[in-house]
Amino acid sequence: MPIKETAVLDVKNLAFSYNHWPVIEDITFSLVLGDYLWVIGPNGSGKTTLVKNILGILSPKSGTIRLFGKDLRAFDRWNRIAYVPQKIAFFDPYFPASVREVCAMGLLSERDRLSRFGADDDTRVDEALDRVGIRKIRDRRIGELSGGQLQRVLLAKALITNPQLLFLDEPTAAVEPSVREDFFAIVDDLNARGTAIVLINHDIAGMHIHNNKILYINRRQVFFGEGKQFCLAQDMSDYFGSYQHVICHQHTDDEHDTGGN
Amino acid sequence: MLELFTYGFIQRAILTGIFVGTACAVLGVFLVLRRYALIGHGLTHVAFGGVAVGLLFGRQPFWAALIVTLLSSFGILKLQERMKIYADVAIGIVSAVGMAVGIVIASIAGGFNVDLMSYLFGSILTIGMSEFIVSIVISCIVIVFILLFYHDLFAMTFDEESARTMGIKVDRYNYFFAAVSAFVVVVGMRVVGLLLVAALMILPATTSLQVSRTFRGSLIISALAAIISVVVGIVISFWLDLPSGGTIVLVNFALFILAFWIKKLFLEKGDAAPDLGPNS
Repeated sequence: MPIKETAVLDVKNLAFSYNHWPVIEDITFSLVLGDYLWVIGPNGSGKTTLVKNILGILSPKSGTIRLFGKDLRAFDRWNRIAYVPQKIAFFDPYFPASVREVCAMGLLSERDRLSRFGADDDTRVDEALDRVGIRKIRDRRIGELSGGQLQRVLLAKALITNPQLLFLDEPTAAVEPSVREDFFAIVDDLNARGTAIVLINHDIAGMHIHNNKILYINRRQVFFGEGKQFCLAQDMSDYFGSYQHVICHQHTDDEHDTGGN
Repeated sequence: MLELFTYGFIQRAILTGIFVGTACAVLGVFLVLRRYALIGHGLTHVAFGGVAVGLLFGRQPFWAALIVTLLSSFGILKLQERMKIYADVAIGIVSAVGMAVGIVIASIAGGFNVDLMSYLFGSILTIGMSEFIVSIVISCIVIVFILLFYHDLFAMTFDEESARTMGIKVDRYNYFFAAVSAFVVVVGMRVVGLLLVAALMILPATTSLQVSRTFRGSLIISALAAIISVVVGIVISFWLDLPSGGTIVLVNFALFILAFWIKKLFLEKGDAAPDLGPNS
């Protein structure tokens, strides 16, 4: 089966309420391997809530979520999925853990509950830290790291099982632009190897139009489709506001740069 | 000096203190980092109420305290889940109610205030053989369980939401923590006293967090701090004829201050590294 046809995520009519207050409603979209989905929308539009429902952190009010063809409630292959939360904002700088310990934590999704770590696992931790360029600081306490380094640790933890579906929630909030570029170069490389990416990111100004799908939500789903379709929706500026202009402007530049049509 | 360790009651006291202290200290690291540091204190208040209930009916205050404390510990979780209130508030509510029940029952029944005081302050130097065995067995069970599920417990302590996305049954482990905390409090109550149990759950863990650079290291340092404080505390209390529980707590506090200064003088210089690039 071609890589593009393998379904990794299928969401249908998803709704979630908090204390009877609807947070998201009627969300429907699907992804296959190799997709790069950019979830956008205003503050408080339900983007993080959507991802937390998909990952089983929150329980939906209604709708269905299927991961790799299996209903979320019966899904147990968590090593195929990884999640990099919006961590910096509420990270405890005094937490006593080394870079190596945090990265190794990612292996738990493929383990039996009572299994121990061995020498092979140490090698995998080093390889994961190498991929994100921070092997030299593997013995540092995480509280001593800068924001960019910490995000790389969390990315290494996510990558260590070679996931096929990676969720990133504002992964580079509060880090410098140069660090952000390095971070997304690693994510792009993963995507090029077939990993489906779901990215929530406020900072659209610094983004390239490498995402091939866009999901725009504002409590309800406003748009889901290819980036090009999003740009062609000229009469939707009331819904998209500055998002459409900025993204599509970059999209045009990107096409010129790469000689696209 | 060494003659002291030939006495049977001293040997029992030190061994019991080492096992109960290690269980409290290892569990304490998880509780402190998960912002449940006060659950030990809260549950000791509840256990006090449970003891009063047991004494009122004239039988088995230990088992009455265990049942009441276990149910209250689960009640703290339920309060958080159902009423969406913070952990410290839930602990505060349950501990206040537990203490109130104890005081009211003691007042109504009268006559067993002396017994209640012995549970409150304990007496590690006078424990009997059966208490010695029960406390060591339960402490071992707690330590072994924590070591067996170490990786999962570490992951959910670091980030509960991410732990869920790795297939870790976080809710199940939350009840595990609640049950283990209740067991440790009630076992420790009879042996070292309610006040000391709460202190052993917070002080060694906080001491270790001052100096440890790894999670595994913080568990080891916490256990060592508890063991050192128990042995040194018992020796000092014996020689100077001081209350053993209070002396152990004060030695613990001295270790915490020592660790704080070690951190200040030697460990903080490398903190807050600037973002100099990926391999900095």
